[in-house]
Amino acid sequence: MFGYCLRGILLLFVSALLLFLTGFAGWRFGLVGLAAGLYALANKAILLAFLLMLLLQTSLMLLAFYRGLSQYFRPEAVAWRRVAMLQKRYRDASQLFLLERRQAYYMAELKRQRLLSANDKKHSIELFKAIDAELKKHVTPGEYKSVRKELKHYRKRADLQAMLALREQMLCQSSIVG
Amino acid sequence: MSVIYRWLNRALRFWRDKRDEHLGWQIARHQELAALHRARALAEQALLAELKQRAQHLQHELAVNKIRNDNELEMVKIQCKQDLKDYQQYLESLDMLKQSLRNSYAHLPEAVVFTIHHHAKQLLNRMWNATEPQEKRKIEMQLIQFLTAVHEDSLSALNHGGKEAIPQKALSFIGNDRQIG
Repeated sequence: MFGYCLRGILLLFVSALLLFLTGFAGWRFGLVGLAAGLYALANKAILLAFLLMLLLQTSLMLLAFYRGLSQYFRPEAVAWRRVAMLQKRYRDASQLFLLERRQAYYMAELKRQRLLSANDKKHSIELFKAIDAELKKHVTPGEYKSVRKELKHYRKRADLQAMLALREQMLCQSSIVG
Repeated sequence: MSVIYRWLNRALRFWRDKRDEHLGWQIARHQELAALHRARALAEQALLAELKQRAQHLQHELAVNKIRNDNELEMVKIQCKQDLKDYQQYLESLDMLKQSLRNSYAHLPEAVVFTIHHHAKQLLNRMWNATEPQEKRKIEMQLIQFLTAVHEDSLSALNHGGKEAIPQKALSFIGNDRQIG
């Protein structure tokens, strides 16, 4: 139907152009009255063609819009969208669970590291005092200052292994010298 | 004028013929057209029913999955809390061990006691960080053996009155471990 309408409008447009041509021919041959009449008719015809074309395009647009909406709200389309949404929700839930589990393990490990750090800090302070008292007796005063500085540095890092290693090294050195 | 009349007539006749042809085709094929409409309607209904069933199944799966995941997550959180408590208890008992070693070996430098305590803590942390169950069990065995050695040393120190006693087994254990490491 729209095809026929379009053909009709194009026919009207072509007719208007032919009327313009005929009017021009009449004017050339001196038939002014005929030319004026044909021009007036051609003007109205071409305006009518444009108006009809505009109406046709508008109605086609509205029809396409209506078809799109009716397609969107068809029961099958609604059902398909629901299935797709549920599938996505299922995948998201599985992913969320994995991430939450990983987060729980991470937080637990973080808390354990904090406990360990607090414990190391407490023991490093005690060990520092013990090693400091021991080295005062076994190391020369000159060396004692630099060793104490190094020991303080390890205490700040709560590195008990390094503190014990330093103590062993200094005692070894002092026994060789002594 | 008659030319235009003839031309118009011809055009009208052509248009009527086309319409009659179309009508004839519709009448000849009306049963097939009806069957096509019926089949289309049935297919749409079948598709709708299948989609509704799939949606119900998915909804059920989603609910079951949610409950399962929530339970599992809750169990993981409880497990982590318990592990943390266990770890804290381990650290406290190692602190108590250090205190008792201090009392048993008051004549020795404190660094010796710290060495034993630090080694025990290292074994504990290695055991905790091990991912493979076999590796975990191996280190756990080492820790138990070490603590047994420390206990035997303490008993021996107690039996000999505590004077001039050295935690021989514990220190040799540490020495062997360092050589292997």
